[in-house]
Amino acid sequence: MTNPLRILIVEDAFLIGMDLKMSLEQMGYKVLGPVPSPARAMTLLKSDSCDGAILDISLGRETSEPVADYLSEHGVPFFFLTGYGSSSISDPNLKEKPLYHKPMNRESLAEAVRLHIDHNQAA
Amino acid sequence: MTEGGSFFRSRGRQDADHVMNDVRLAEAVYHCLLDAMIVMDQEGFVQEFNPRAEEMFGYSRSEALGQELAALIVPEEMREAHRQGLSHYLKSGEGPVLGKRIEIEGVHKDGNRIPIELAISARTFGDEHVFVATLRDLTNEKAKQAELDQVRRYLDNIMEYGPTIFYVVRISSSGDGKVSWISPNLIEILDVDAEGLIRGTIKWQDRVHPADLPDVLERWQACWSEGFNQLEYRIYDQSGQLRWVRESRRVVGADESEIIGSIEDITESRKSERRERVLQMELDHRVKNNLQVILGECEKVVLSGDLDRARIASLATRIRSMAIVHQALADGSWSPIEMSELIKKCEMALIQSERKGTLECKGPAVKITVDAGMTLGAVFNELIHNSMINGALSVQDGLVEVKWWLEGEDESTCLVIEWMERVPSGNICPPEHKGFGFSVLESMIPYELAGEVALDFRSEGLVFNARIPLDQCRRDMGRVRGQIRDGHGRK
Repeated sequence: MTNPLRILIVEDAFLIGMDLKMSLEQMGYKVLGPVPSPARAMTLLKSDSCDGAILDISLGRETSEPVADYLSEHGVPFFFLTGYGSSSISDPNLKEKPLYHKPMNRESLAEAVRLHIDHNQAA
Repeated sequence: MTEGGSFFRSRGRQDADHVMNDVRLAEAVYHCLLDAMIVMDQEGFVQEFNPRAEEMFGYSRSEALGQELAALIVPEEMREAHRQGLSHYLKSGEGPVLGKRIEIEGVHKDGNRIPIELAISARTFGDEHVFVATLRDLTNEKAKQAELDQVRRYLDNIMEYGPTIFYVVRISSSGDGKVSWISPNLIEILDVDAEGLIRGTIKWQDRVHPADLPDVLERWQACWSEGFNQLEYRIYDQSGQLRWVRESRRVVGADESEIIGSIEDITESRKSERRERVLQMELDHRVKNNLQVILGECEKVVLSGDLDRARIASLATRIRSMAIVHQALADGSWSPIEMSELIKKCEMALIQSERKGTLECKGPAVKITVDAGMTLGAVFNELIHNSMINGALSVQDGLVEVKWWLEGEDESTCLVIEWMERVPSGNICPPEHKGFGFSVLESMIPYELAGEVALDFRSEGLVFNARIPLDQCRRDMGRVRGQIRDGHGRK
């Protein structure tokens, strides 16, 4: 892969964020983050180009919904990875987005990324 | 012939057959009467005393006959009035109690008083006056009445002070249901005026939360055909507070034109249900997060191909550390934990028998909420674990001092934590490579609690400093997540 895809990770648990990062890097992707808050995600998104994202929904006092809205508007593919059920999404438009439950192993992670983000790999 | 025949003889019938007929008639009457009957002459003496009277007062007829009535069955305090009433009547012909039913008390042979309904009529035969009294024992009726009064008092109390509101809705000529009665406790429970509701100046549906109203109206209407239903919804009380109520309705009456219903304020139980739901979701979330971490660690070990004992032991330590923090927080039912308590629990779980050096804690009472507790617990575990392998807790005379304090004011208040290891021999080397444990110490607090940390590997031991906005240690995410969901938390 000459130009690796750049994938943003938004996840409030440090250990999970780091593990996702390591897994994605080993799969050959470039990782933006991980970041624990929507504000820091937005800062990254405005300075870096981003090809896809993995979003934890609940981020302490906030949720990743604003990030998801921004990504949707800009046509950037993403999926949710959450420890909660889908009921934690309040925006009806986001309920249609792909959602995976923790815990997720590497194989499923690779599969989800191929399916929703890395379309070249899927094709 | 009985003595009772005496006054019937005075009715002026001369022929013997007629007399005999009269006597039989009189006998029949006085035996068959369901009421007691007493005949008194104008001197106040008993002339007749039928079987019911015998039962009622406990005197046999022969005991009663010829006795002064007043002395026999009239309560002592009434006797004088009785005698005066009699003499007044004989003089003036006025008898205010005659020809009416009155309630008085009589006295039984055993001295007990009996409530009685009494009717007296007087008859005059020439100069002779005869008084006929019929008496009914009211003991059972009085007892029933007393019971009814008691029930009535209970009901009044329930309607006035009970926890459930009751109401009656009648179908009006226009076909709508209209509140025709509602218990006065309405104002106590929901702060809504019952009178206003019945008069129609207040409309119940105006109080219903707009989001719940369409469903409520539909269910109210449906009750007429369903016969019974129950619904839960939100209303605004007079002070504008939002309350949850449970309403149960049942159609009653032969023509099914009435609904009786009850309303309970279930705001408190709703709240605790919500708390439980949130707690359950939080636990579910934490368990899944922990499983994610463990799964990641396991996969790392497997992928590295390095399955030696040390690697697996370190994985086991990670899992144990997570379990320790989980236990410490679960011990307090997931409510905030004291700083000192958190450190003590991590210490007790990890150090145990392998204890060599000493750990001392000093700091003010600071409560840490669950999420921050997870982060700090993981960091303390890492510090203790590290120190037991290569620090002050690995040598006999080693000492770890943990101090914490608050700095700054109001919103900028920070919790400052200082972990200082002292190894007298002073030959501690900084770790050669920055492993997983190092990244926990260096990055977990900045990442999860927006704090700052400093690590200083001195030869006499590690000094670790953390500075965390107190606000971060006090945020209760569960509550916030619960509120997010409350908007569509309806049944």
